[in-house]
Parts: sequence; structure tokens; C-alpha cells
Amino acid sequence: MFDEMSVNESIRPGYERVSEWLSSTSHEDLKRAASEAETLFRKIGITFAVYGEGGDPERLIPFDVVPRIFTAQEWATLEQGVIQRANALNAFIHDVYHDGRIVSEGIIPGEFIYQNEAYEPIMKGFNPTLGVYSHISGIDVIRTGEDGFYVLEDNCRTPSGVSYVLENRRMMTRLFPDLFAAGDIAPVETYPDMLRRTMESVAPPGGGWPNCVILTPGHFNSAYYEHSFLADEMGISLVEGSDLFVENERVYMRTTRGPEQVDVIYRRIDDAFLDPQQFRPDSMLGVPGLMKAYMAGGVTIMNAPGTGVADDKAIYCYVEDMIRFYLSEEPVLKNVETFKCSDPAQLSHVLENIGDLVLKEVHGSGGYGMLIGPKSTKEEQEAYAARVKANPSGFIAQPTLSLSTCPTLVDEGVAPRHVDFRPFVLSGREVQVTPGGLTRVALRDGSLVVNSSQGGGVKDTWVLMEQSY
Amino acid sequence: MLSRVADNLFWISRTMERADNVARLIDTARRMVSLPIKTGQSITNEWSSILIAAGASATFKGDLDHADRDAALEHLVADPENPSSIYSCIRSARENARAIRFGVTSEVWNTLNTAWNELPHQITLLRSRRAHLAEFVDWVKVAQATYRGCVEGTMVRDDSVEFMRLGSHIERGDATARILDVKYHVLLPSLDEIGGSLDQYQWVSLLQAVGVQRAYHFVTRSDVSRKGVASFLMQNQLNPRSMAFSLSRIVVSLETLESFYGRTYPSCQIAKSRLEDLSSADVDHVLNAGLHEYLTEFIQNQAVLAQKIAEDFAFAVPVTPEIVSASEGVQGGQYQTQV
Repeated sequence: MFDEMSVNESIRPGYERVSEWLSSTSHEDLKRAASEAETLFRKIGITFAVYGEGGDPERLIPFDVVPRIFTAQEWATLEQGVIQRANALNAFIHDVYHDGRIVSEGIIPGEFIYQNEAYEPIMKGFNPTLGVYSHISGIDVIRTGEDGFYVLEDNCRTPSGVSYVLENRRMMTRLFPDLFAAGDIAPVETYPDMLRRTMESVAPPGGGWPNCVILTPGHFNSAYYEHSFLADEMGISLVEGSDLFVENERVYMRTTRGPEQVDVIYRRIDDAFLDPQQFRPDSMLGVPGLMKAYMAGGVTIMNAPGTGVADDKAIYCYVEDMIRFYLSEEPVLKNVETFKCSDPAQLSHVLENIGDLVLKEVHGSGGYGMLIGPKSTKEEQEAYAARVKANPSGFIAQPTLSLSTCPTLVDEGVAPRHVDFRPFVLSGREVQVTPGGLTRVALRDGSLVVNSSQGGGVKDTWVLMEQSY
Repeated sequence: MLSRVADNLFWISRTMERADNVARLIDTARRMVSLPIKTGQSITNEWSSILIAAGASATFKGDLDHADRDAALEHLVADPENPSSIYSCIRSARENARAIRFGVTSEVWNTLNTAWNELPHQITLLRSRRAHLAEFVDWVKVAQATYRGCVEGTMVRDDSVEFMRLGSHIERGDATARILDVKYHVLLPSLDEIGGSLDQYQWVSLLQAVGVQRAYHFVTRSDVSRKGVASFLMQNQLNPRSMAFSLSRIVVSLETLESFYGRTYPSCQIAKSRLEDLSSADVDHVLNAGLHEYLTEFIQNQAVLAQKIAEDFAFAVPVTPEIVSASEGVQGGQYQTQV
């Protein structure tokens, strides 16, 4: 097991300050800070909504006061790796909606693409501004050792969590200003500006200063806080579907001064709900005629419809190949070894070793519907195996990875807990990453599941800058 | 500004103002109940009057004519089925603010969020201790005063604050008319009591409820009288709770919006002519012809004005007031609240 703070009793580079701070701060003081943080988060209203489970639907994601740290060298690798990955994914999406070279050259079987539910035929031949499809990509990275960084999952639809990156940092600087006194922690506050510039850079050509908006499903959505937070940070409007209408293939929002044209829509609703005329006719969240306006070049939608074809777990297996194919580069970050159950030989390997593997549904997300072999009973394994056999192409399997741990405040004191990491890549005229990202932590001892829906918390993530002296 | 946001801002202020005024109505009843009555007489229908004045006669499930204190309080304070209960108002204000989370400053949001979080405890205290009522009324008034203070102290002076002010003043003008109308519904032991001491106390209670008893004496330099109180609550623009004052603030806000947007709005013309009518009304004539009828019409007109404002600024959900039926007293408003 790799602990990011200490290996064989010696403190790893970057963690010296935190190690010293932890040993000189009492458990009570840390607890007090943690409860202060919780009060503040609740006061600000940084909640996510969980309906149908009873109790207060407005929940807080637990915030851990011990930061997670990357050195400048580690960050350089991560940054290069996730940008490379986002570039390859964008090239892939462009390809599958145009010539499909990656299929004709035999790299990826066409059925994984064209039979994929997330493939949107309407996007075929369409050219979004600057050729960018996934403007915001969340690349989930895990670590298993000193140099062992792996990509666990790509998120090209509407990856969320960036508001926590900013709010966690604000909380840390408020609670523990002394930790930041050295001035060597890269700021994450640049994100909203970067996002706004990204939005402006992909506005339809022509026109003056682009009018950018965020489209939210509304305040009952679990990520509503983030939607409103980002709109506020960027100083742009947060709109709901009913605020928008389409006329002559242009999109307008209803304002107290009358209609105002909208140029760029950062949508936080799924493809299926975007436009009842094009997708689900029962959608109350979308804008009738939006896709027509999009196809006519009247508005930019980000991320583009149909990007989901790239972040599916079946396509995931091929991302390293994509990097080689489109960029002629070697992947900086490796994939986790993945067995495709659609392949008979791999399927039998998976079934024989089900007790050692993690099995996942190809279309699953949020940590639901998985089987963690070593932590499951014989009965659970048999039941899961039966599901896999019934529909092999619906599943993949991966070795049970030993995720790295970070010191985390728990009831008994400070103890190692498993973490993962989601940096956010922005693709527009430039491709950039804010130095930092969302570290999720599995608060239960031994647990590998970091999802907030299943007992996960979050941490501030520091990227240390090169000392310039 | 998005029309939906303007609509929400309007309603946040409107529902907070309403919570405050429902609390003041309750306070009126609390004061009137403690007035002396002659032995052998039991005409304490104050709570029924308050329910009617608060527009709750349709939502109140019990016997309206003989409503007792606890049932009336429960309905006016804590009933989630009553859209004008203090509970519903604060919930709606906070929900509307959450729906446009950054359309208000964080201080405004914190005020609403805090009020909502403290409310259950206040209701528990109210249910367990009769003596908590006055304190509860104060708590609501402080919550509204804090909210109003945060709006005036922290909101940028652009169009958004004008929509909030419009919401407050549409509501307050309406509420003052309702409080004044309580006097119509509260029975006196016999006709010869009009002008008598109980009658006199009841007029004083109305002034106390809206918090302008001292202002009345200071401004009018006269004793409390039927005509004096009616005129002070209807027409006196030095009185921040008078109907005319609210209308004058509505005119100011609409004129400000006209200059922001560089155009004119029908609602502004309507507000101006209403203000003129009200200011020039002969109070003696109103009292003789029937104060209740006059107030009923005023409340109807306020609802129409709110509707015109919604149309002028393309609010997302048109506010359609229920038609007030004169025969049923003043109850124009299962008043709508949004969200």
C-alpha cells in the first residue's frame, strides 16, 4: 500500500509541512476546524441533493481538513498526461462523426461506436467551432506507487466537482492561513476565468462580445450549487430551459428588457433532455428547437451533444490506442489493465478470477452496480457472474488496485484513507488545466469507493510550485 | 436580467414582507384579546377576524366563526398547507433565493437561510409556551428587518434591487389595508360602544400592530380617533406603513426601472393614478360609504397592479390574483407564492 505522505517512516517530498503541522496540532483542534468547516459549508449552502432516501434532502459532502499534495514534478506529468488524453478524446469524437478512420483502420470495432447509445447520428458531419467537442473533460486518475499514475475513467459529458476544488481551497485558507504563508501553493482561483475564456473562444464566429450562459436543470438538481457557483464566479447568467427560446435558428433568453441573444451554452443537462424536438419529447428541462439552432451555427453547446461516445467504459480500453493513432505519441498516463467481457477468452479469465477483480457495468457510473471481488461473498460473486454471462459486452473487469492513501482526519485521529483525483481539462482555443483538482477520499477504513453517494469525502489538493529562488 | 430572476427577487421580498405582516396581524389579536371587556360579555372573536384579514378563511379547516387561539395560530404560523403561513412564507423566500442563489448577495442569502433553519425551534417554543407568542412575533419582525437591512445594505443598486422593493411594497400596502380591515371584522359588544373605550383601544391596537403608535401622535398631534387612524394608515406619506407610502415607493421603483431601461411601462402609469386617487380621497366620505368596501377594492387593485408589473417585465410565471369576492370579506389572496 502506497501512502502519499510517508513511505517507510520517512516523509515524502512535498508533505514536510503537513506532516509537521499534523504532529503539532491536537486532535481536538483539527476536529474543531472540521466542524467549523461543516457549519460554514452549510451556511453557504454548498449542498448536493439526495431525494428519495428520507431525511434532509440537502446533504453536505464531508470535507477533510488534511490536504493532498503534488510536487511540481508530479504535477508536470499529470498535466501533460491529462491534456494529451483530452486532445486524443476530442480527435476521436471528431473522427467518429466524420470519416471513422479509427474504425476503418481496424483499431476499434465499429459496433462499440455506432451501436453505442451515446452516439448521436445527428452530429454526423457537423463541425463545431474550432473542432472541439469535449470542452470540459474530467479525467479520473488514481495512484498506486511513486510513478504509478493510472487513468481510471474519462468524463466527457458534464463532469462535476470543480466548485469543490475552489470552495475547499477557500475553506483551507480561511481555517489554516499559516499553511499558505510560504506562497508556494499554485492558486486554483484561475479556473472561472479560464472557463469563461474557453467559452468565449468557441462562440460562433461573427457577432460581437459573446453572451455565454450556463444551462441548469434547476435548483432540485444535485449539482445545482455548482451551476450557480460557476455562473456567479464568471459573472454570466444561470438559465433554465424555460428562460430560453429559439427563433429563426437563434437562441434567446427572456429578460426584463426583452429577448437577448445567447451565443454559448455551457449545459449541465444530459443530451437526452436538451431539446424535446430532437431527443426525449417529454423533456421539460430543454429548449425546443435548440438542436436546429446549433446545427445552423447559431449557438455553441458545450460539451457538444454526443461526446458520451468517448467516455464509455468499453471505449476506455482503447484510449491509449487513440493517443498513438491520432497524436503519434506514447501515452503519458496508462490505463488500468482492463478485461473486456465481450471477448470470450477474456471473459473466461474474468469468471475464473472473479474473487480478485473489480467488475463494472460498461454504462454504469457513480460507483453503483459494481462488484469488488475481494470484498464480496461467494453468493454475490455468483449472482454477478450470472449477469455477466447473460450480457458479456455490458461488463468490463479490472484488477483490484491498491489505491494510494493520504492522511485523513477520522474519529480515532489521523489515519490513511484511499483517494482518487479528478483534474479538469479545458479545451477551447487553448487546452489548459487548473493546477489542482478534486481529490475524493473514501472515509471508511479500507474502503476503495470514493463516490460521494457512498460515503466519500473531499480534500483540498495542492500543487506545489517550483521554488524560484 | 433574466425575467425569472426578477420574478424570484420580487417574490422573495414579497413573502418576507408577508411573514412580517402576518406576525403583526397575530400581534394585533394578542393585544386585542387582552383588552378589558364588561363582565358577562364574551365576544372574543379576535382570532376569527385575524384569519379573515390574513386571507386565510378558505384554507382554515376549523370553524371560522369560533376559531380559538391555538387553532388560528397553528394555521397562521406553522401550517404548510396555508401558502401565507409564516412557515410557508419563509420557506418560499428561502427556496426562491436558492433557485437564484447568486442573484442575491451572500448576506441576503445567509439571512434567509438562517431564518429558515431557526424556524422549527421557534415553532416548537411557540407550541409549548403560551407566553412565547410576543417573543415569536419579535423574532419574525427581526428576521424581516435583517433581511430588509441586508437588501438595502448589500445589493448592488441596479434593476435587481428595484424588483425586491416592488415586491415589498406591493405586499406591505396590501397588508396595511388588511390590518386596518381587522377593525371591521372585530365585533363590539353593542352598537353604542362605537366611539366608546373598547372601540378606542381597538384603534390603538391597530397602530401598535404596525408599530406606528408613537409616530401617530408625533405626526398628527392628536388623540386616537377613527378618522385619524384611518387617514394615518391610508394616506399619510410620513408613515412608512401607510398604503400611500407603499404606492409612492412603487412609483419610485417603476420610474427608476423606466430610466434604467429607457422606456415607459403601463404599470407605472397605473401606480401613479392609484396614488393620486388614494391621496385625494375624502376620508369622511370613505368612512361613511364603508371603509371595508374601500379597502376591499384597494386590495383588488394592488393585485391588478402586481399583475401589470409581471406583464411589463415578462415574469416567467404570470401572477394571476384570485378575484376578491366582496361578500366574503377581504381575502384576496390565497395569494400566490412561487416555487
